[in-house]
Amino acid sequence: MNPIPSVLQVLLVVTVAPSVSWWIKKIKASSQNRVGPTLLQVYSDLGKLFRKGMVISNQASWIFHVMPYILFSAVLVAASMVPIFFKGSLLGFSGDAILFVYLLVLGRFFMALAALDTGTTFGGMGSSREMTLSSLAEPALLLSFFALAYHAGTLSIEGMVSHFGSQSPLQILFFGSLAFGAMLIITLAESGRIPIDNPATHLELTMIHEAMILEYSGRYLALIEWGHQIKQFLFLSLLVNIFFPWGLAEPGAGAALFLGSLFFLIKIFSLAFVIGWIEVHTAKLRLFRVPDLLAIAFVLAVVSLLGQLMIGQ
Amino acid sequence: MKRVVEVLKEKFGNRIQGSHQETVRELQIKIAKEVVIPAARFLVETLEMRFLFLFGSDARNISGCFHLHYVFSYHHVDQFIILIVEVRGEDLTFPSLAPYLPQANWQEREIQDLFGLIAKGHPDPRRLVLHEDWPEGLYPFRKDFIQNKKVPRVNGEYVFDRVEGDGVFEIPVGPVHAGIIEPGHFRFSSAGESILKLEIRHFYTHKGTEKLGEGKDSSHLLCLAERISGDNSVAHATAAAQALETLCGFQIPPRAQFLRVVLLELERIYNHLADVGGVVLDVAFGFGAAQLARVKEQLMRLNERLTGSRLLRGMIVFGGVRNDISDLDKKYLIQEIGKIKVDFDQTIQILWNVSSLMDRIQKTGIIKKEIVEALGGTGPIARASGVDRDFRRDHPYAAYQELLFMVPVFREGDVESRIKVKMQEVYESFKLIYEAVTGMPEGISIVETVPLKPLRSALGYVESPRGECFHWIATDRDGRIARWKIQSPSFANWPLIEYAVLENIVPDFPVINKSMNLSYSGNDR
Amino acid sequence: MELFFILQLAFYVLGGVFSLFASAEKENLSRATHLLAGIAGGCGMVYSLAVLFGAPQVSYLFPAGLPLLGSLEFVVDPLSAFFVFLISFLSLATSIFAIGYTRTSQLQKGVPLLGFLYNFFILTMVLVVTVRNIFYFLIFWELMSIASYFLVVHKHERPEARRAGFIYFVMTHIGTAFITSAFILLFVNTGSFQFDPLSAHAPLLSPAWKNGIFLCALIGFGAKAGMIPLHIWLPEAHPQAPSHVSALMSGVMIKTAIYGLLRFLFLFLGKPFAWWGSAILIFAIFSTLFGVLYALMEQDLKKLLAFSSIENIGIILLGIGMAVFFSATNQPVLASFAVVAALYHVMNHAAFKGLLFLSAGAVLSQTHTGNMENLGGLIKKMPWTAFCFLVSAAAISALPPLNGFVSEWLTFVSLLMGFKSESVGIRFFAPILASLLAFASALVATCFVKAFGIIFLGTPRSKCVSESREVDFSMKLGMGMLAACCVLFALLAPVIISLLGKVAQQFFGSEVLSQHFVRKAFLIDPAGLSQFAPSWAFIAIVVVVLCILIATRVFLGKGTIRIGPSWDCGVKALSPHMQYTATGFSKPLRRIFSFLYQPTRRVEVEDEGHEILRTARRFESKVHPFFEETFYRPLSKWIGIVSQKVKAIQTGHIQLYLSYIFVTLVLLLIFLRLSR
Repeated sequence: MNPIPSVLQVLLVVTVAPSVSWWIKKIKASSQNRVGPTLLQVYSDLGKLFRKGMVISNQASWIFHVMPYILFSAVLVAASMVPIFFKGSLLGFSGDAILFVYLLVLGRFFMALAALDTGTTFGGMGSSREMTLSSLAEPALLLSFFALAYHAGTLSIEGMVSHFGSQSPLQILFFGSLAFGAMLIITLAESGRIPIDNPATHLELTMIHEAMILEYSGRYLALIEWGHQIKQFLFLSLLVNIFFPWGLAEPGAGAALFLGSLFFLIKIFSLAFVIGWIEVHTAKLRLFRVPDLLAIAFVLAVVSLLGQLMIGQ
Repeated sequence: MKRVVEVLKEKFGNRIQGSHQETVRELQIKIAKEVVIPAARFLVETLEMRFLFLFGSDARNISGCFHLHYVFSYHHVDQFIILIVEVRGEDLTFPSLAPYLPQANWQEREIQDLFGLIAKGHPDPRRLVLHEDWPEGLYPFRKDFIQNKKVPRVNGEYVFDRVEGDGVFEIPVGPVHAGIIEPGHFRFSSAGESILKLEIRHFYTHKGTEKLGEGKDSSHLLCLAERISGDNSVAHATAAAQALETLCGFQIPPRAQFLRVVLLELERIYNHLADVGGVVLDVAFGFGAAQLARVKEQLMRLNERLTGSRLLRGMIVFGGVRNDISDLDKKYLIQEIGKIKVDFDQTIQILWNVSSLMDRIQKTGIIKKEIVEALGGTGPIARASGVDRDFRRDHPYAAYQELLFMVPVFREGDVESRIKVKMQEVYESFKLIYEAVTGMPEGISIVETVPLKPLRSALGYVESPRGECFHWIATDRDGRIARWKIQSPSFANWPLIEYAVLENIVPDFPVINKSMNLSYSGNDR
Repeated sequence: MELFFILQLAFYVLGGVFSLFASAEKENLSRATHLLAGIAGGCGMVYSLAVLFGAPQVSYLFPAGLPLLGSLEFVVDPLSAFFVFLISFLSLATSIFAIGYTRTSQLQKGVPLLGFLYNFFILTMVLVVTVRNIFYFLIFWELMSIASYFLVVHKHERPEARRAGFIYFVMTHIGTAFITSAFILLFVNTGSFQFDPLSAHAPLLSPAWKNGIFLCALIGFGAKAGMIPLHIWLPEAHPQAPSHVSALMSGVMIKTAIYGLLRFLFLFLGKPFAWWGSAILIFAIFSTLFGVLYALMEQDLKKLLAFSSIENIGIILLGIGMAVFFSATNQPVLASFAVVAALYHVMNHAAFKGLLFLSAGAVLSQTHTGNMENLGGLIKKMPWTAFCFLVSAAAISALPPLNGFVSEWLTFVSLLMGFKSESVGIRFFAPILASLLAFASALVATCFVKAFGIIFLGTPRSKCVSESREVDFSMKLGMGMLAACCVLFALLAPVIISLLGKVAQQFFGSEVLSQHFVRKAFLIDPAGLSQFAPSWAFIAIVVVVLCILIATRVFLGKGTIRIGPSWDCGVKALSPHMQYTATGFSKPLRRIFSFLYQPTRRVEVEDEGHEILRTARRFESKVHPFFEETFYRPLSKWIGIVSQKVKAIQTGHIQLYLSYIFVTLVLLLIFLRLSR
């Protein structure tokens, strides 16, 4: 199999990911009677961060320096396991959904450590909250994957996408929508969006994700922000390609590849619109209400699994 | 009031050294240092007066001693009582009122820092106003301190109150914050997410405004007063102007009184709208915050159209109101207020239907009524906790006794109650403006000023958007300003936040702080 | 190969005796002792690997034997070889570590006795997993417990050590009692004391007997393994022993219980029943969840690690439970996969938990405190220890590409293979169990972020840290070996799985082929659900990290870096007291799970005369130990009451005792008469 399209796919993901953040910002701005940033703004922000020098705490150890690279790399390897613009992926053969989830855990583990490295309170605060909430989100995410794997007969993400691409929507409507609901909540949690976390806040005491990276600047911060945007894009891709896979091209299909990618982007931006809509319409939940929300995601995944078993497969 | 003096003389005998009615509403009673505490407690506990504030002044070049003033209010009869104590000679101590009336805690510490008098028996005699880098022995508010002299800084230490225990740590926030807000330091003790204890420390923007006003003339004084707390310019300026007018013993024309009401209420509206918007922003409901900010902007433009200043500055002068409003302006004002009311209504309807927002603000940051009363809380914060107090109704000033309005009081004391109080007050202010504009008497809006009478003093008071605001002005032999005391509502209310956050979690602190929306600059002066 | 076996035993004996009788000065003494133990470990690795790679099983008949008990024969079949390998490689690492560790001030007293007990302990463990006779098994089992008991109470002047030893002693003997019962029931049915006849007789056991034996074996071995609810001794005993011994206790001693359980489940009891699998799964998931939930609330490092061992036993039991289930439903290939998963985790756990305990020992030897709240910033003083701790923390949190993730993946897939089962219940509950495993694994990551972060990162929280320096060479070498194992066990996964497949073959017969599990570099599951290539993942991550590093260097240059203080919001005095504490880190989880923890919280208040204005002065919070309070405390109270009542028969009057004897004789005669 030709690896070139798969490599290009990864590069394309890396390039396109910030634009989804831009789109969500635009949606929020228009609900607030504002114009919002231009598309170029998101990229120029990243570029500016890359060019700036860094100020590093005198308490930081090598973990602080190493974390952005590990985080970005873990997200990249995870990205190369997911079929995004077409039904293949670079490293999909070497692992499955479980590896995907744990690669993200790898990144988060080091981010939490780097937050504790500088010896500030805010770092510990962000680290503690993030690890707590993610330990509640992970079982829901994996159980959704397991529910999907039960239907698809495989844990591999490529396999799941191919399988659901060949199903008619009505067949899988019931359990699919439940699993979609669960994964949508998890996507909100993993991308750090309202109602779980506010990405645009300046209040240090309320931050979860931002509090962990308060001490970062310059290119490290750029890598972290970009990695976060890619992670958000990956989750949206998973939602789109598993639950709305129609129109996704086969690998090596030539012109159909181009059309398929375009259609995929339209789907992504529509889903991002939904995310933006949710952000506009809710306030941030009180910290100890978030476990309730994540428990709802878990229950949805359980019911999705149960539904399949009842209906008989 | 004569009755009060008689009763006091019965109780304390010759310790009561004299009394006289300084102004129509103020009764000054000279009292010996030793009995001021029992007298104060008597006034509060038995005669059910309300202790407002206490302050000191350096009167050594007039009477050779320091004076301490204790101000009480008697709202049944709309009167104030000021106990005056002399602190003379070598013994610069005075008995501390703080153990009995906790609201005197910060006020006595301020006197210690700025005048060098010592409160004996004060439970917490740490520095308040001056930070640890200020040298000992220098007291800025004494008359012999030269204001623009450069003071050498020293290395000192300020010890915060900590909670002991395994696993307890401190969270220091500020004075430099991540957003564009004023400097103030918050030291939490926490063992995780719950707040065990909060200690605040302010006075990073202490400018010595009170001392700056000494020796100035009235227009300069009012200029300074407007800048004590930027968004309460009208309130502070009105209180100061009223103090000056009462001191000189003349009344401003009725039209000016009505105009002052309009200005005060316009200020109240934009403040409260911004507060509600701020709370909504701090729970990350961007839509609501943006709409309220937009409405606030419309109000600011209205202010500019009417007065030339978005913050309504420059309107209050000694003797009335500088610019009258024309009939065209009045019609425009009524129209705009109507439009803003509709907009505000719509936004509030939307907000009240967002359940995640309501969940955040209900039962958060509860301040119990007893704490508010013990610490002397004032304004919407007090009214949200069930303390029914409003100077516009209890001690009417400007044109308030001729206008009809309600004072909203809620009992829960949480963030939602504070928001509801502010919202109701906005509606009441809309009504007040309408009444004041339609019922405005004809006439002039300003009278000729007179030079200030020497050796007199007077109290001016206003219910500002944050609460009760007092200015006490005393003149010297030459009719210049000898002492200007500013009791801002933020100074009274800041200690409440240490109790509002208990039993809440750290991420809820910004909402609680914003719901109280106290002014750092107004506190620091 | 028999030679290596004999050598291994001989070196342990030599090392022990040397330690006791040699009177050289302490330093050389302990060096030699532990060196000998290390060499013994090396010998053990040689022959065990040979057997696993396909050499015929090693057997050795000890010339002397105890009368009436039969011959003392040792046979190393693949199952035993695996466990011998486990014991050997971990004891090699801990012995090297101990060369330096026993010289530190932690262990000044009793060094001769410690060396002897250490060697004796490992010797008994090797003997337990290689012996083939019920009696000798029980004898060596008991000796192993006694050796470890004395190691636990090594610091006997401390009341906590004595208490821990007592609880350990009681619980291990409860376990031994049940194991003995299981063996006796087996003997009654088969009439033989040797293992091979017992395995041969397995198909002939009747269901009632099988269930009884299963329960006894599960409870007996479960008590030793630290399965919930028989785990209460583990968090007490493991922290009290010296750290290199704790590493062995957590790494291998509790796994000898797994060895015993595997022998029973798959060899002595023949074809299992499905409900056995469900029972094991229930105990397993409870162990997993309770283990990690309590580990999160601990501030003492070694106690945290002990609770974590309970969690890992749970994971191993999940694999075993699924294997039992599949075996009961005639799916031997799936069952072997599950067994392979469990055994892989046994090995990985020995590696990373051993390393964790050794690093804890290194930290303890320098800072003299095990309480995380007093530590901080150690990464600057002890960089190698910190790195090793990080590797093991990452491994135990199942982060790719280390070994913990491989065995976790295998366990996940074992559970998900339940999709292919006939039973609807398993088809539903197995994925639920898998998601609970994911939950536990995420909590483990939280726990070790906390442990590593609070101990090594940030600024020192107390003066204990300022005196610390990096440990000496032998300790570094010991830790480094295990860290290398964590990486190697991941890279060599295909090889390891084929070796473990041999053990599975021993259980399920020759239909189990390694082609079912491994295909070149890929681990595949027999149900066709998934595949995973650990080496690809490793290479991918390393390559991408390097590429990003190089890319940023090439495109952006070196970049300017300024060093400044951490963000302090303008307060110039950031103190270590302003960092997050270990308690604070796990506070949100404590709150969310307060229905389980039942935390009690005590706040001392002060007020300055006004009750309404009181503020906190002192804060204390404790977590309610569920099993101790709910089961054991009432149980021990009840036993005490009953004993008091029963004491009434001991009046001290000889006449009464004589009448007891008389009555018993009469009853016996009547019984004999009636049974004729």
